[in-house]
Amino acid sequence: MDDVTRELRRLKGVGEVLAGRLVSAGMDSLEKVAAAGEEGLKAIKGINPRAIPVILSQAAVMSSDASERRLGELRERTAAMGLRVQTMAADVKSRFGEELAGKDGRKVERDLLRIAGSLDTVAVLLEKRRKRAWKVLSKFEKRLSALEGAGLKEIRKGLKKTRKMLLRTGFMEKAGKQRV
Amino acid sequence: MTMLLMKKTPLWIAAKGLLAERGADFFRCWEKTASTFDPEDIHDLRVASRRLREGISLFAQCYPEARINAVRKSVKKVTDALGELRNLDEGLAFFRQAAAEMGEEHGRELSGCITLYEADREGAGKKLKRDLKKMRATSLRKLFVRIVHAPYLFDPPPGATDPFLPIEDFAREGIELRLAPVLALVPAARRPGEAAAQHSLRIAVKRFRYRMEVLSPLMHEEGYRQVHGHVKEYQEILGRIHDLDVFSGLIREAVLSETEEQALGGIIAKKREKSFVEFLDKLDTIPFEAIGATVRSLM
Repeated sequence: MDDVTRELRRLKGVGEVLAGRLVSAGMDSLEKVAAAGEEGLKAIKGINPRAIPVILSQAAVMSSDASERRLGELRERTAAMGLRVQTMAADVKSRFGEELAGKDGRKVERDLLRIAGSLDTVAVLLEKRRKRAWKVLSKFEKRLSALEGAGLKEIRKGLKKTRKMLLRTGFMEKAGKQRV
Repeated sequence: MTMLLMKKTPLWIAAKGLLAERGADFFRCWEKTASTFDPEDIHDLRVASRRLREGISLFAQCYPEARINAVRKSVKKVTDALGELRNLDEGLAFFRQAAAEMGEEHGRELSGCITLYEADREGAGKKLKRDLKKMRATSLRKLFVRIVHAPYLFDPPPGATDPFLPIEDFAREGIELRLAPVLALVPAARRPGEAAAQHSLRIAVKRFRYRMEVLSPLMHEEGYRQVHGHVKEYQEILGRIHDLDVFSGLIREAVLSETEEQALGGIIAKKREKSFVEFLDKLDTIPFEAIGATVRSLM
């Protein structure tokens, strides 16, 4: 059973089969079930019409709880990423020392500063763009993990990719247009 | 501020976060003042510009000198431009209150004075509008953003503070630097005739207060609010004393009859005395040593 079905099964009156049918009808989250309304649920085969109002009110309450939880998780992840960027900067500084005065070092510095700044943008945008923010943070996390213990050149390339990804997804402002 | 600031946060992150917060406040106030030109908004913008300058002065070592100085100069221009209007507003408020207190018999002469001030204020208001427009908030914001987001990281010049120093250590030192002149000036300022020392103490207290405000995200909220309230009260009392000294100069400059000048002088002297007693009481109840100890314990 996947996460979506498990989440839908938390609704009283929704079993495994009905959860599967809801997902097939495009209602793959509590928010979507709540938004479908009576008419939307009546169209699902096998649903008890008398149970519809209860399912809808439960879905509305649960989706708002789930949404708050998700937002909290997103904020925690953003803060954790901020700490990882800080740790990475300290690690780069201690591992590469004087090498950082060169071209690669300057580029790493520039990208780290831009990336650290973009986390403020993520923190502001995540409320409105939760799904996107979740994906971006996952990618971000993966990229930084891949750079642990890497050489300076690799770090430079990895950070450049991360910066571009953040710019492309709208979670980083162009240089000079950052938030204050 | 969206950034999560902790005591161990490295200086390079904390500096740009704390300065960005002060900058956001400054530009928000600027926008509001540009549309309303309300005396309170003008005052708020002036205070916001001073807080930002205090932040810049605190974190100046974290940035290339020429760049941060460019921002500092531009922000100072805004503070200066606002000064004239603010002083006229203060003067007007004083003469209006004095006219109300002194009653009809002195009213005519003072109303002439008030009319002159009102005319000056109108001219100063127009000048300020022109000056603020010339200073271009958008350009300054761009410059500020570009510089604030690029502190030293890997290669600071000799003499600059280590960008990886925990903000807690940096902040403690910063607070002590602003507290020291306050403590040094108190003995002289306690003497009634030492107007210059009282004025210097007012400036030192103001700087200490702004520094506390810049670093407030590092302090426990409840305790901070209380200690900040005490510092603010000190600043207000000393501000009142200073304003009264300025006003006694103003009445000498204003074209007033001797009786009028004496009556006003009497009012000023009485008010100053009252404020000075308040200042001494405050020093006995909440001395600056105690304030310093509380601020240290909050960080």
